[in-house]
This record gives sequence, C-alpha cells and structure tokens, in this order.
Amino acid sequence: MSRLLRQPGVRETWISLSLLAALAGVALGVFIKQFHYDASIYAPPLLPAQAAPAGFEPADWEAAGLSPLGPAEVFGPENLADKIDGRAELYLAAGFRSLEARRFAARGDTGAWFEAFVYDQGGLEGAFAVFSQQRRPEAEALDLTGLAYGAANAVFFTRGPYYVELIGASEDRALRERMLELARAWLARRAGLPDRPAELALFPAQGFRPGSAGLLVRDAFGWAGLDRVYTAEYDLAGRSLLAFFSRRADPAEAERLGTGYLAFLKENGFTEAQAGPEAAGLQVLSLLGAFEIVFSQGPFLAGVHQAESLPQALDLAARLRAGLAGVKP
Amino acid sequence: MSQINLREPDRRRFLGRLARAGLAAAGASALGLSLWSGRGSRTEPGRASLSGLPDFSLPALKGRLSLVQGSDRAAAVRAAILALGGIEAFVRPGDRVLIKVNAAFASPPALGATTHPELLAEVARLCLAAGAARVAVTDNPINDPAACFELTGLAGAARSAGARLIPPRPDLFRRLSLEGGRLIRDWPVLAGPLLEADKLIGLAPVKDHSRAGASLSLKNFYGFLGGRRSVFHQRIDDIIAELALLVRPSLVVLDGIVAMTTNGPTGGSLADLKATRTMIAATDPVAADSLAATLLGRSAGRLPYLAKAEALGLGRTDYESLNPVRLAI
Repeated sequence: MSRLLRQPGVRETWISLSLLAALAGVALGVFIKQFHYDASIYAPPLLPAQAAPAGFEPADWEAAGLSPLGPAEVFGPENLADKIDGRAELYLAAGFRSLEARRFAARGDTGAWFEAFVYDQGGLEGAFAVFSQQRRPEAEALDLTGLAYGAANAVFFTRGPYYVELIGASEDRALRERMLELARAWLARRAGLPDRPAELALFPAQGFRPGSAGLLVRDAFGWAGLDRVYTAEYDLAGRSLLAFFSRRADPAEAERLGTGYLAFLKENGFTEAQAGPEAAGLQVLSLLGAFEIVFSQGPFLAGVHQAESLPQALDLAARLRAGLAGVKP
Repeated sequence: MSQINLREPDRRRFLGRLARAGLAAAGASALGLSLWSGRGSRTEPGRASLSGLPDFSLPALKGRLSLVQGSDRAAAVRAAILALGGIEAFVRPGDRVLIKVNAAFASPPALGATTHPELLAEVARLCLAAGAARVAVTDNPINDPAACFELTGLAGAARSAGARLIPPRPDLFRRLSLEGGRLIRDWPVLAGPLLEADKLIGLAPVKDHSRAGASLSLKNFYGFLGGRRSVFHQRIDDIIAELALLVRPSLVVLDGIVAMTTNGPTGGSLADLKATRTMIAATDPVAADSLAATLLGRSAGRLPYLAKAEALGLGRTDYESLNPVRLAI
C-alpha cells in the first residue's frame, strides 16, 4: 500500500508546535476576555413571566374589578436594579430570587392606577427582613396577614417567601379598596403559607412595641461580622430599649460571635461597666451613658442594644434569656 | 532519504483529508457565527469617542446659593432664581437650554421619586420668557422611558410649557472617556442633547437613597449615563464625584417642598414623604447638595461623594461660606 514515506523534519515539527501554541494562546485569550465583557453593552434580558410564578392571575384582578395596564415585568438578581435602582441591595442581601411588577387600573378608569410588586425572597426570613426594614412608622395595621400595613396610597404585606407592595398613584380610598380585594384574592391561593417567622415568639411580651420586630440580614449594629439578627423595640417605664438575638449553628458559634462583637464594641470605645450581681453571665459595656448587654444562651447570641437605663436593660435581658433558654435544640 | 509517492490511493487520501479539513473549518465558522453578537461594536464609524462634555457653568455667577421656604412650588422656584440674579442672568436671548430632570421611575408625581412636573413647567416657562430659542428636557430613566415621562407628568409639563422632550434614543449616546476618570472610561453617555445646548439646568427632587445616602443634584446626573450603569452602584460615591467632574451645569434647583426622607430612591408610600417646604437654587451643586442634605436630617459629612467632589475643586460643602440668600414666601 502506498503512503507518504517522508518523516517530518525537526524544523517542521517546531513550526507545527509553534502554531499549535499560538492557537492555544488565542483560545486562552478568548477564555480570559469573556470574564471582562463590556458592561455598558451587555445586559441580562428580562426573565420570562413564568420565571416568577407568584404574580397575580386573571381571576385575582377580575374579582377586584381591575384591569392590567400592560404585561408583567419580571426581574431577577442580575437586573433588579433596573427596576428599583439603589433599593436593590436591600432585597439582594435578603435572598431575593425574582420580582414580578405589573400596573393595574380600576376597570373603566385608567386614571386610577397602582403598581403591584411581588418579590420572591426565597424564604420566610428574607420576606420578613425586607418587610421589617422598610416598615413605615405609625402605619395603619391591616388584617390581611400576620404582617401587613397600609398607607394612604399603598398596601404592604408578606406571606411565605413573598413580600408584596401595592402602590397607588394617589390617595384614593376607592382604589385602595380594590387593591385590598386583589390582595385577598392572591392570598387566598396561598392560604397554607406562614406569615411570620417562628423566632418572633421568642421575644418577651411585656413592654413589646407592636409592629417593631425586625430582621437585620447583615452588618447588624455596624459590625460586618453580625448577621441574621432579630430585633424588637420595647417601651419600659417611659424608656425605649432594643432587644436582639441571632440563632447560630451551635453554642460554640454563638460564643465565638459574642466574643467578636464585644471586641468590636471595645474597639469603638465601649468599656466594661459595673453592673452588680444581677448581671451574672452577662457582658455589660457602656459608652457615653449608653449600655450594651451581650450574652449567649445555647445557640443564641443575644442582648440589649444601646439602652439608656441599665436596670431596665438588665430586666429585659433577663427575660429574653429566660425565653431563649426554653428553646429546645 | 525520504520519498514522496503520489499514486492514486494517496490522491484519494489527500482529497479525503482536504474534505475533512474543509468541514472542520466550516463547522468552526458556523460555531463562531452562532456566538457572534452585533451589539458588541465600539464607537460608531465616523463618531469619535468623547473625552468630556461642554462646560455650562457661568464663572460670573460662581458660588451663588439661595433657599426659599414655602409650599407653592412655582412661586418658590421663581423667588429662588430671582435671588441668584434672575433667570436673565442665566439665559440669554437665543440660548438653547437643556433641562435635566429626574424621570428615573415610572411613578406618579405624588410619590416624590422624580422631578415634580410643576417645577419643570415653571422653569421652562421662565427660560422661554427670558428669550431662550428653545428649551429641551431629557433624562435616561431606569424604567421604560416613555412610561416614565408620561406617568411622572413630566411629558405633559414639557408640552404645556412649550418645551421639547428628548427621549434617550440610541443615536444620542456617545462613548466617552472622562479625562482623569477611573469609572467613566469608554462608557456611553447621553451626550447628544448636551452637545446641542448652550445652558444646562438640573432639576432634582430631594430624596433619600439607600445606596448613596441621598439623591440630590449631583446624583441626578447619573441619568446621563447609558449602558448597564448599575455596575457603578458598588462605587456609588466615586461615580457621583466623576459625574460632578463631567457635568458642569449653569444652574441646579433642588425641590424640597416635599422631601422623600425614607425608603429612597423609589419610596412608594406617602408616609415616606415629609413637607420640608424648601426650594434651593445654586450655581454650586456641591453646596446645594450639602444644604439639601440637612432637609433629610443628614450632614454633608455623611455623603462621601460630596467630600470627593469638593476635593476635586468642584464646589464647597461649607455652604454657609457662600452666604446663601434665605427667603420665605
């Protein structure tokens, strides 16, 4: 059988290897460059509507006498800022998955309109975090869910992993009634989902200011090491206090976190305060007349933040500790 | 010694290899074609990249600042501009005036997230009354531009006042590398309306901003950026300082008749608003923003971009040193 008999020479071999190396270099260059794309040009596309299955359905808005003013817009983590700009950070830090936004108007009256935002925060904690961090003070409590309130032009509530805002273009009582009807229809299809994180029940009842509980998902009290912190405000003998706790993986982690937080406080000028026998097991620090109490109880790191009155802070810390001690691992 | 024997079977082998090589080349080309994006073009042919924008500031009016207290928006802005020397000091007969509004969101004027249409209408009328050849209004909103201009009432205000609305069409953007800038490098900027203007007036609401601390006159110029500008949120202070370097307005007006004090920049509830009854006009945006920050209960020191802009020689955070004119109507 005939064949090419000549073997490649040394020079040919090196030229071939050089060409292959050059091609490999080009491939490597393309691979590296694709991590540094031109952000001014390439933007993630809007997600298809089915990517956010939590939105409103025709039965919901028809029951409320509403008509959509256009199709739903769906946003994911990559382009949430394209809808809500600087507020996106709050949602992203709390586990944001998707947002469906859609405008509705009263049927036959497009001048009376509102926009509905359904945020899927991935879980009950995430929804509660964004709800609590934006809660308007002195808002009107609504009985829609366990966590719901209204303003003159708007309705806000959570259910399961969802945080929902219905925001009207103006103060219009009739329109707000329709917004509430829409909300009820949407909620009826999610009746089995919880509204409130179970952790809220761990705060002592006496002196608790209704509607004041919150969840700080990160950078709690200015320290980057402290995250997932539940807070609640108290009114005790005319003074305002803030109790807090964070459930960690195990008691050792809670201890470590407490040590780190105390070190952070001392770096910022806090010093240890004399607090007497009732402070046994508690770390009490003070700065410029404000007291900070920190303790760990099982898997919880907890305390009272920036209290003006030490006796009341100690009393609140003791009651909080007793409640946390009753939690089964 | 090697030999080459090209008899018939070798020719067939050669042709076979040639066909396979051809198929491989065609396959690679097809793969490349499928991955190719026509959007990736750089500066358009015949349109050179810019290194800056025209300087619209008026040296003769440097360092002027006024504050008017009242609740009538139109009367307040008239008085504020009059206190700086009157609109005639800024707009000469035949001038082409560009008004940069904040139309970022498709939200109604009542929510205070965008420039109020009453303010735009009054300033446009003043410019035309001073002999402006034309008054144009522009912004590159975060949400759909058509919806933003209509739902904010800004399109209607521009029409009623005789101003021309310039939506952010793709052909109005030019790639720009700011001299001395680190972020605005080869970035699309809404330069078209600026290149056809003689004077630039910025009209911004006073509002909270979860990322920047406050959205005031300098943050308003964020709306001149195109592309996927949300990437700058991680360096919000630096980008605002660079915008201060890039955009030198003739006049800025900050509308604090009602300020959004919480949950900015979008707000949503009327409870986020506070009647601060203040209109600010200035030729120094840094001073104007420093003064407006106090309406939100903040000092200039809490807004790092103001210190950065001041360090670049773009204005003063110590606004009192400008001897602001204070009036009540």
